[in-house]
Amino acid sequence: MSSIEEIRSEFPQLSQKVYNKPLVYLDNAATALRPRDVIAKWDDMSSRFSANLHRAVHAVAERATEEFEDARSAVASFIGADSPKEIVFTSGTTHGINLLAYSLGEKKNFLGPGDEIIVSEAEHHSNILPWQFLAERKLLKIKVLPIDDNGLVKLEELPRLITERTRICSIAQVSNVLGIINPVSEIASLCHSHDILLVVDGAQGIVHCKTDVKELGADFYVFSGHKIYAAPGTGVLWGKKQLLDSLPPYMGGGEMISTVKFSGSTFAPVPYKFEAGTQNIAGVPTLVPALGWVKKLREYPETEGVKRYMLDALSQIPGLRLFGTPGKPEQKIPLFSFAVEGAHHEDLALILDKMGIAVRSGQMCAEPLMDRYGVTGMLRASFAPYNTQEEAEYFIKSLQKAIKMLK
Amino acid sequence: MNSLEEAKAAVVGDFSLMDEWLDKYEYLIDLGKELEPFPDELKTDDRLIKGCQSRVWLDCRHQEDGRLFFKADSDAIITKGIISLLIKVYSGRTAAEIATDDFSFVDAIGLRQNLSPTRAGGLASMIETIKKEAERYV
Repeated sequence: MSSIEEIRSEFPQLSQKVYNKPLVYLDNAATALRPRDVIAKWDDMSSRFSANLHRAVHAVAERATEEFEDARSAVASFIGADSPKEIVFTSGTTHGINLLAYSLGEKKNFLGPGDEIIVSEAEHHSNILPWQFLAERKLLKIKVLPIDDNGLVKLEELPRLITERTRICSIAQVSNVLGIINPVSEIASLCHSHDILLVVDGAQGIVHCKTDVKELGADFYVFSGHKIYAAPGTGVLWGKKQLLDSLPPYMGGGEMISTVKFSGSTFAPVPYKFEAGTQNIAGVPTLVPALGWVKKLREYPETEGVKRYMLDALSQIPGLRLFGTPGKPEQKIPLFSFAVEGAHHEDLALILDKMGIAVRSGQMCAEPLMDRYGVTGMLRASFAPYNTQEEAEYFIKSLQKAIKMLK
Repeated sequence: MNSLEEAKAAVVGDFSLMDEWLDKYEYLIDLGKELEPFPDELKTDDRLIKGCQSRVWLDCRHQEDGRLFFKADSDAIITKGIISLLIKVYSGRTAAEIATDDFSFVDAIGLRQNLSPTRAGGLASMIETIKKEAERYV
């Protein structure tokens, strides 16, 4: 196992200074930093292998296609998919869920007025709005699976929410605000015994949880590349092959067709049916080195210590309310959202910024969850395995100083 | 009352004494705390300024002599300090003076470029709201 210094030296942004202070990057749940081999791959694809995929027969196009398809195979084996054909590249989680919400809506004999979709109270807007759009279009009803005060989904409520009209359930593997790992497998078995399709938003989960889509029991699993150290604008939608086959395409355009006639067109097989238009040629191949990093960093032992230190230190700050407190630390990723009495989250974030610390403040794309807790926003510090114990301690010290300034 | 230019120069002068950003924030926090209390009944949606991460309410009173008087509040103290700064400079000026001003002194004290983009958006919205109020009475 490499030392933390060796790991950090592979992420150039970590040695950056802001306002003449070392950058302490604790906004990893928004986007992770990129290591040198990812940047090198990205650069190499741009400087040597710019060519469009699949269509041309020339040498650079073949190489670009090979790199792109290698990434598909790497993703498939990483998440335990049956075949690379089950891997659809998207621009990110948001794109993936929008694609699903559209295509499931147009799937033959699947949805009708009065049918129901279940999402949890702790979802990111990206896992709410696409379903709302679908519900408006198809006159469906959205039902909300509540969470308790600690942030745990009320699993016991799920059987009561499910009716014979429930068709889809869409839930985050890990909440982007609470950091709690949801009991997806249990939700999956409930869904499957009622013929409900389960969509899992893996944007945060894929980073910290070893994920096998079949063990998880999902029908669809989506995530973003930029949160797992790959190029932004890359993302993955995994779906069971026969389900993907049964869905109509989301966008029409080049690459996704078999034949095009004015009398009607036929479409390419999956996954190409869902990959209309020019793809992120330079970005997608960066998923290969990025997945190597996820595997390596996910197992990094120091993260657990930093997490426990943070939980303990935050609990000792007077007036601080931590959201997402599952009781067992292993049910939570190293992500800490909180509010401090008498200190606005935005003020804290502004002051911390000037101390060199990057954190997130505001509603964190989860307004219903803010309403649930009766707050206008929160402050979120989200750690990656390359963050150190010293950074955690500096964060706590700086936070205490900022609170003092504001009171 | 000092002139608009004098008021702006005084603020720029105050800020020029502070090298450290944390000192500037301390100054803004103090300004925020000094702001006269804002009645709860004025915290209405039509007084809420859009585009701020925190909530900002601005009340404008027009006097017959053409002068405008502003009151404001925010749930975030640094934002409150910023709006307090704007009130210090612009409240009690004539609508014509405010409407024709370019508000460039916020650049001179480094406020606009050093605040986060969402916050800079908030500052821009505050300035725009004050200007719009003034334009109504010109």
